[in-house]
Amino acid sequence: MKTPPGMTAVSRYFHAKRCGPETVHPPFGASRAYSLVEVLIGGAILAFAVAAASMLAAAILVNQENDGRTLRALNVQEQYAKLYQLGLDHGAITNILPEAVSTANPPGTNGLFFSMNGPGDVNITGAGVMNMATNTMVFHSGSDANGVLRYATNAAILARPSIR
Amino acid sequence: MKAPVPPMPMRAPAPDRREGGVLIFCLLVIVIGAFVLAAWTQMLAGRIHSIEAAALTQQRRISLANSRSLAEQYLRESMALGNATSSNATLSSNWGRFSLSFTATNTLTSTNQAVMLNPFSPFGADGFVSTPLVVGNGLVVTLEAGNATSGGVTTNRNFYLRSRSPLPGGFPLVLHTSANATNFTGLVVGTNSGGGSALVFASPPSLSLAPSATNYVSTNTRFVSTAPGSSVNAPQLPIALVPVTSGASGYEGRLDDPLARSRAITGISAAVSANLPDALPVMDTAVFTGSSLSEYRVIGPLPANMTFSAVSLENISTTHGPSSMLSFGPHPTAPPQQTGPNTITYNYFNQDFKIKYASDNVQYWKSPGWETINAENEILIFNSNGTASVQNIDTSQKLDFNTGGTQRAVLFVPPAGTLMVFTDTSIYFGPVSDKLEGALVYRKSEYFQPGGVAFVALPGLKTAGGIWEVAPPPIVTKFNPSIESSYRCQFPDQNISIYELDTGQLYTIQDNSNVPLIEIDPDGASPWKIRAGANSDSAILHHTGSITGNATNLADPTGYAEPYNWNRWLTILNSSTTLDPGLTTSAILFGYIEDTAVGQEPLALELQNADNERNTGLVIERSANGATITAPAGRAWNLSATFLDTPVTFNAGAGFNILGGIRANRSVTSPTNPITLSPNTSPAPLEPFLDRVGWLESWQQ
Repeated sequence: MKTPPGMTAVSRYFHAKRCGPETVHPPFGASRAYSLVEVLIGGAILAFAVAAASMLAAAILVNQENDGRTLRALNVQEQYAKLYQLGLDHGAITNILPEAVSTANPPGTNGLFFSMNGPGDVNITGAGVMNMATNTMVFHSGSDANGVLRYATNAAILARPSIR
Repeated sequence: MKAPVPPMPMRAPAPDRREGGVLIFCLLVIVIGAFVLAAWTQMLAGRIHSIEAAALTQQRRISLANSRSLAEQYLRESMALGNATSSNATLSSNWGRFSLSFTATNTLTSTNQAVMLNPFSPFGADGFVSTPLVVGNGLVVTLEAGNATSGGVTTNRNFYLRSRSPLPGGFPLVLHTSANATNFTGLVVGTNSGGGSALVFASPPSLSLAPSATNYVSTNTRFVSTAPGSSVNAPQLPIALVPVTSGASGYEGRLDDPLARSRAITGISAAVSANLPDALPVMDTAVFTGSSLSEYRVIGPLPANMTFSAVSLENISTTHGPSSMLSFGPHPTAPPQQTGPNTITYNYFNQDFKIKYASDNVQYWKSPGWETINAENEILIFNSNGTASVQNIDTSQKLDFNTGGTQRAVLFVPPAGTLMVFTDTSIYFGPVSDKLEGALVYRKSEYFQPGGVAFVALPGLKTAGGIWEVAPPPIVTKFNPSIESSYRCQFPDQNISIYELDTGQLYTIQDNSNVPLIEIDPDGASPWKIRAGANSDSAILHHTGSITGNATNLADPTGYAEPYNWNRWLTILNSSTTLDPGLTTSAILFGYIEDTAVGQEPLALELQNADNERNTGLVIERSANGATITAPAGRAWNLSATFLDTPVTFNAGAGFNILGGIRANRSVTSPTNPITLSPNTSPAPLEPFLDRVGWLESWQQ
């Protein structure tokens, strides 16, 4: 059976499989299968890649969780600062905050702990007397490889007018 | 057998260029994959850095808020006092740090600012125009939050002060919070009954006090627990203005000197009363048309029917002049109360008009305009139902409103039916209940009932902290002529207060120098002890009690007109009443001794001094109603100089009651010796509540 002229190598290959016992050549000139060694090497490489990707994905997830905790903590601390500047005291603030504030330090899993040093009046030369306090926040920022909770601390100085 | 197929001639394969194409294809895939992987990695890195960026922005927000706070403090404190200086302030150490530089600016300039813009409004995009005062040079705030590489961020900001006065504020309704300074000449700035109103009270006489930032009270004090601002007796900071009588509106001036004519901008003239150098004139918005204003000054008479109404009396202040008549009432449904031609009535105290009796931050039970409350003034409390009541007054606060020792107030002659409920917890009246209202009533002297009414405990309600009711008033025609003679109490510079004998809740009477006229329980041992104060020559302890005898038998030791209303006098249930030394001039016992068992021997009453000299001028007679004491005709029971050295004991004996009162005269040279009325250890039962009633008044002969 003659191969129609003008066929490409791929079409000739499939044409041969369909149409007759003309000598069939695999496309692109590949004429043999992969050896076992090649397959094993390829599989190993693929396995390494999959493992690496999995580990990276896991690390990303953990990092995302930690970032989320940090962002949440910073957000709550900022709200704390705003409420302080509205004139509230520490007790009122911790009651108002949308997040449950732990009274224990360290606060535990996903916990937040706030403390206030002050407030006290501080004379700012030329400006007047400010009512200032230092807010220290301790929050669960992540866990180590052994599952032990790790905490981060962030302190912010807060100021509000003594006349308010 | 099939012939074998001859082998095909072997030919060397020609070079296949298709294999090179595969390689290129694979490289392309690898490059694309590398790009994807790099982008993914970069994205992950970005996610990691995003938290750092978020933290930095949070730092800067807190820093900015802190800097605003400092700027606000600067405006209120430094500028209000006119002592703003150029300086730098740096707040450092951790998150929230910033530095702020400010240039000395004491003069504010008004500028129009459109507020409440609404582009979707069918009436146009513009709201109304506010005229805030601008701090001219602005403040430079440097936010130092950030890491070593990002550094600080510097921003320039202008701060605006929105005046609480209607003219520069540009708002249709401006209400001020009441101030509570005693030396505060409060004013009412005009209003109209149509809905708009502006009530502004002016600077106090001392500018060093009122416009001070430390005396500022802002509305968010409701957030804090008790303190009305950071200072006691803090008036609202008025950004006062010179009223514009001609020219364009506007204002340029200082907070510490708002009424200086020289501060008015060009083209504006203002009329400020020379009598009120530190006060705002009263402006009536009803004539606020065009560029002309009419002024109503507080000092001097106001039109008789002039009424200032407001849609809310949350913040209101006024003044009280000798012939002024200002009434306040709800608008517009109820007319203001006018209790008389010389009456000022405050109605509808509400949550922001706190009346506090705490030791600190005392707010007075009077308007700032009331420099003093005179003897004729009544302080009445009404609730919404029309019944008078005082709620939640801590007994420890004492009804003289005088906890701080410098305030003046009079609780005097409340109407019959007034209930006073004492508790031990709350110190506020006013914000506690939204139904409470208050009134200050200035009453003329024809209604003056001096010392004749006290609060008595209602029968059956004599528990501690129980309910007290106003006692019935005395017979004025019989009581006043005698009581109002002499230099009685020297009102308005003295206080008169109620005390309760049983519990020892006794309250001093003070003169205008805050020196007690009568000291109650001076040694802290017994509430029965009284003595005259350092600035008074005498003290009288009056008690209400039952008198069974015929009072007409009693001579008036000091020329009182007869007859007494003896039901107003004291029942002293003592079997032994001791007068301690300390009466350098005289001591007088008036009343009589009652023999509770008729038929017994006449009571032996001895008044004996250290020399065992007895007063023989007293005539003690026994009658069916008990023993009576009659003073010698033509003179008082003057036991002058007889009790100087040793105590003198009235030996009433068992079963006898001493009915009457004791008035002790003493000189100022012996202020430490009290008159002691020793309580009976086993008093006889009395009529309901009579043993718990009393009042004090000072006396000078």
